[in-house]
Amino acid sequence: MIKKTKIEVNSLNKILGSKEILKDVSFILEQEEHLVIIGSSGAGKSMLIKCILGLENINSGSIFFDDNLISENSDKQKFLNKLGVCFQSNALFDSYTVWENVAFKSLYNLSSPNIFNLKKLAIERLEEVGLPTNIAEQYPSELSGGMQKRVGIARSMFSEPDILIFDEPTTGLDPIMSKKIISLIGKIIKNSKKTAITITHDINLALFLASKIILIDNGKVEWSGTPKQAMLSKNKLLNIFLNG
Amino acid sequence: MKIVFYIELVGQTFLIFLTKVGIFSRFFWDILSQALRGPFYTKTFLNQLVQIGFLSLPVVGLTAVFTGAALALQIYSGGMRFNAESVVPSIVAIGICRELGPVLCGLIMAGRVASSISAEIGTMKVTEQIDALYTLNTNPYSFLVVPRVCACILSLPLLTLTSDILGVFGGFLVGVSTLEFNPTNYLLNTVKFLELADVISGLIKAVFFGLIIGVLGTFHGLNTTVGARGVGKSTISAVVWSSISVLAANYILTEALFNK
Ligand SMILES: Nc1ncnc2c1ncn2[C@@H]1O[C@H](COP(=O)(O)OP(=O)(O)O)[C@@H](O)[C@H]1O
Ligand SMILES: [Mg+2]
Repeated sequence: MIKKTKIEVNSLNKILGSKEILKDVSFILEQEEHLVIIGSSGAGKSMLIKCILGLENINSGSIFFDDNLISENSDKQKFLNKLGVCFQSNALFDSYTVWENVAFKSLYNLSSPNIFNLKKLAIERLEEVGLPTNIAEQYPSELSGGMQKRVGIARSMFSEPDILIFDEPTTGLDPIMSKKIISLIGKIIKNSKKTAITITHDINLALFLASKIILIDNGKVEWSGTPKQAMLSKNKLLNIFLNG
Repeated sequence: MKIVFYIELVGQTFLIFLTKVGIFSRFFWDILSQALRGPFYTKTFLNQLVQIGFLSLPVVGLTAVFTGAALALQIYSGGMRFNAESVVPSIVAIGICRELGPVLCGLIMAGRVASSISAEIGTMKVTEQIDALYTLNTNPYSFLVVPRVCACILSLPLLTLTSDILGVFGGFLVGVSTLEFNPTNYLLNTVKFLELADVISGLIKAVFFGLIIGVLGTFHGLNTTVGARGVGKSTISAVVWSSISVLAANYILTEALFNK
């Protein structure tokens, strides 16, 4: 079976001021594939995601989603609606309760939202990410870092997106919590056969979850391949990651 | 050589200025077009009306009372020099309604509201909440900017009206206590020479001050660069630029509304 291409990025360049943040980045993400982007801090991983999402303008290159070139503003919003994004800094809205955060997309966009149903759905999502349902009425600031991360994941899954994107889901968490989040993401992706992109500097996460790995360094794609190829690779930088 | 250097410096500064003007005009246009396109978040707007307008009442009210009281004393000692102590009630009322009410309101709100709007939106920017809004199909201009700007535009004239009344009241208190005016006479004199145009012109000014404070607060918030330091910097800029703009706009509007 030939898998469908979901996202195609062609020689993307991003310059901020006089600094080249991304240089000639290209990759393909196929349906039900899990791409893990790995690289040290400041390599440009988050920026790459923001360029793909259209939150940052790109200087040159092209991005295709389902074979459509994403350029027009209207396309961008349509494209964004099919994605569930979990940001590096969680980006939970602190003046809204946990369930309002999770259901935000429908709560503030439908002309007459059915509050009762949305809350029920939000609570289901909280259960799916392993959170107790009694936190639904609490505010994000009352939760621990790991719980906030889960709320962010629940929010990104809320409207059953085509593609899930996780930016550094385990950064800043203790090792036990990291393991739990990694297996949660693994479960979500395997259960729902989702296409996903995860950013990390945690090689174990990459080897465990990825169907394809891209190593980014200094804004350039330094290496790409499967986890198996990664284990055998002689690439110096990749080996630094592998051997800690 | 030196001359070339200075010409370059002037040129560069001018270019930076033009870029800023360009970015700002673009921002203003985005607010307008997004306000027309909708959706309008009524709940957020009402919430902001409370945060921005209602909760500013104490500070605005106290300022007005004290200013009115001080103004009465000053005008009394000035008026005494040509035996015109009796002008105190009317001059206090005219001075407050035409000038001090709106300007003090504008400056206090620049400090209290432009700063809090900028800090709140700036924090949302650096913690990726603005990006998150886009990915949740919510336009930050509709959701954050428009309700705040509208709340400012509505709050400022209402607060100014309050401070007009309380300012006159402050003058009245000093007038009947320290200056030993007859209370009835004081009030009659206040109303006698005060024209509706005095009050209206002050309220028109206030509408523009509200626009300035709302737009500059949100503008600096959304243009916050990375980190907590960025939030601090943009908050300072929001307060400084909205205060200066309120005073500059006050002069321009006074010229425009001036009748001989
Ligand atoms: N708004 C910005 N202005 C200037 N430089 C930025 C901005 N955002 C990111 N950068 C720079 O871009 C580079 C890549 O950042 P980022 O994508 O956040 O890295 P990471 O791989 O850790 O996610 C960094 O060197 C960072 O300093
Ligand atoms: Mg990052």
